[in-house]
Amino acid sequence: MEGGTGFAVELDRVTRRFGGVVALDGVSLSVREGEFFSLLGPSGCGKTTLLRVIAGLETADAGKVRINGLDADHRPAHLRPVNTVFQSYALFPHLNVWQNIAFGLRMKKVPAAEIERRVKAISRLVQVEELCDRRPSQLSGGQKQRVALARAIVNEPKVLLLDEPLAALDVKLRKALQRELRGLQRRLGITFIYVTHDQEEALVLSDRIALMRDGRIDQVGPGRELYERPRTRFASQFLGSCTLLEAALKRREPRRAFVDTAVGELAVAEAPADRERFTLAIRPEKIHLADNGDGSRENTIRVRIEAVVYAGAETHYELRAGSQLLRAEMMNTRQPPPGLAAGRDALAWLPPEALIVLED
Amino acid sequence: MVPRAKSEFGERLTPLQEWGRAALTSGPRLAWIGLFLLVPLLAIIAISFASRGTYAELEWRFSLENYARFFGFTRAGYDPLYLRILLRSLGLAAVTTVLCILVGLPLTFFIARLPRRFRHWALILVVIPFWTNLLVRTYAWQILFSGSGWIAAAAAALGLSPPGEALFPSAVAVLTAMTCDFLPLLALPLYTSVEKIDWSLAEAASDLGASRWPIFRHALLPQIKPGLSAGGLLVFIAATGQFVIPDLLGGSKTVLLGNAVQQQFGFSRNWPFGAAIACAAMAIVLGALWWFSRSTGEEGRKAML
Repeated sequence: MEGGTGFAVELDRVTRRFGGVVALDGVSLSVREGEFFSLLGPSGCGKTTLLRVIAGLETADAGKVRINGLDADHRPAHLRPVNTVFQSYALFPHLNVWQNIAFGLRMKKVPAAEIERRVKAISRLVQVEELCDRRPSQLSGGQKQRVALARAIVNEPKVLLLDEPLAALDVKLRKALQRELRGLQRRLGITFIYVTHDQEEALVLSDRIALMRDGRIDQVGPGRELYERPRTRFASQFLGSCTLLEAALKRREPRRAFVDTAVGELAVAEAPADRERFTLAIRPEKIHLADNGDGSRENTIRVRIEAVVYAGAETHYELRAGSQLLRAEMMNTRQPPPGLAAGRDALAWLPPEALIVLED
Repeated sequence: MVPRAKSEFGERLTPLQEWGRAALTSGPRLAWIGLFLLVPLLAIIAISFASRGTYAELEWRFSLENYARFFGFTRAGYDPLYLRILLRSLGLAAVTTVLCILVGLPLTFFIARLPRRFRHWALILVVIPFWTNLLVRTYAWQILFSGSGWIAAAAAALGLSPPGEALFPSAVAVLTAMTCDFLPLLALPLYTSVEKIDWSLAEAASDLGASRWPIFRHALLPQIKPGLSAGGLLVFIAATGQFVIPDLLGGSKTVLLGNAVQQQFGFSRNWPFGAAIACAAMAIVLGALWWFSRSTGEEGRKAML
């Protein structure tokens, strides 16, 4: 079964249409063995369709799917070395927890003694041991989630596909299960492909994230890279949020470039070699706010504070510089300066390295 | 078990008001059922324990003789004639039920997967034959199966029968007509189950390594079991009492429950024995119903009612 390419799943220009709607538009992707890989995107971006194509529940109209180095295009779902945790869990209502978990092994005609042993081990691992006699209708959401997970991983798949498995749970439980999922994935060494629309969930869990939009991959990389270096407007807005500034190149210097923007002249750490006009993005937490100081320093602009919102760990500021609106955030590690109140003027410093040049 | 709080319309009622309302709404229905179903039924049960007089009149003398005769204990010794008739009827009903299920399953799945606007029409097409009188339909089958009919011609062309020969009386003709006639009884309850199928369970089964048949067996069948058993039971009950079709298409050589009862009430003028046959058959069918509803559980019971 080992293909030896080091990739658990490889997609080559996979396309899927539903009537006139293109759900997947030539998606190419390689997921490494043992990786926790997330497909992140807004609803309707094609992430679930992509997962279903990998599972074999959906057939691609064009393109290739390789699982574990082997062509999977003509292999039906039940012959693929993958298992899925469905968003709705899809537990068999007429079977109890034990029978649900044993289902895949029974289908593969595993000897009864081994089924017994493996189901027992897995149900202990996901802590549903004492629920084995219950029907799915007698379980809470979190318990169903655990059973669905157990039912999939008991088959020791090469790749585990998870379709928004935590979406139906409340925040506390979700956070707890996130930690468990991450721990489980590390311990089992199974490749996880995880569909979510929750950017924080993707960041916390994943080794790498593929950000999807309109049936295409927008950007792939480790969470830090996606967050710190978004390449598109969409990426900069979907993961966290950025203030966008339209920039026109004025002059280049070694390791510096100067641009004209709506808030005045700014220095940026790098400028694209091929374009004079481009868009800059800056994260709200990278903007430094001060109620007084030296306004002539590089990249320091005078702003009017329009609104102040206290949000627990941090405080959000809405700033205006001329016609440009900016968003800034400051951690509430100390009492914020008293001058930073709505209606007051302040100084905002935009560090050159924090100004990200977008590709679109 | 029903929580007794507010009425459906949200008012709070005293027990008396509740009773009054129930009597007002359910009363007419109960009276109807009582007058036209319960009373005749009780009369039949009573008659089955009476005796036939010398001049074929009803004699109100309690006797178990009719039941004894049904179960084969006659004055001349043990002869399970009527049990054989019962078994024959049940056998015919069972085969009809199985055939209806074999035809009905693909049919209902096909209808349920049609675009929504066509489903409605497809169901009407299934039901249309029901609007025609059974006798008329059966004569229609005679025409279809006649020697000059296209079905006979097709069968002859395939070498299944001599050319120009009618396809009835025959078991094939009887079973074909029975299956077609009773199919709506199965198809409608089955369709309501098939329409509600949660297909994600089929996907889950497939994902867990199940191929076609195991998917049906483990993920779909449990979901349609209520409709299947309800529909199957309806066909079975209806087919058990059926005698017109076997009579007209099977050649009236075989006596079935239906004609046995008819014979006793009509030709033989032995009402008590006819009533006993009817009651015994009813008890056996009710037993089957009880057993079915038990084995399919709460959902099955609900689908049946």
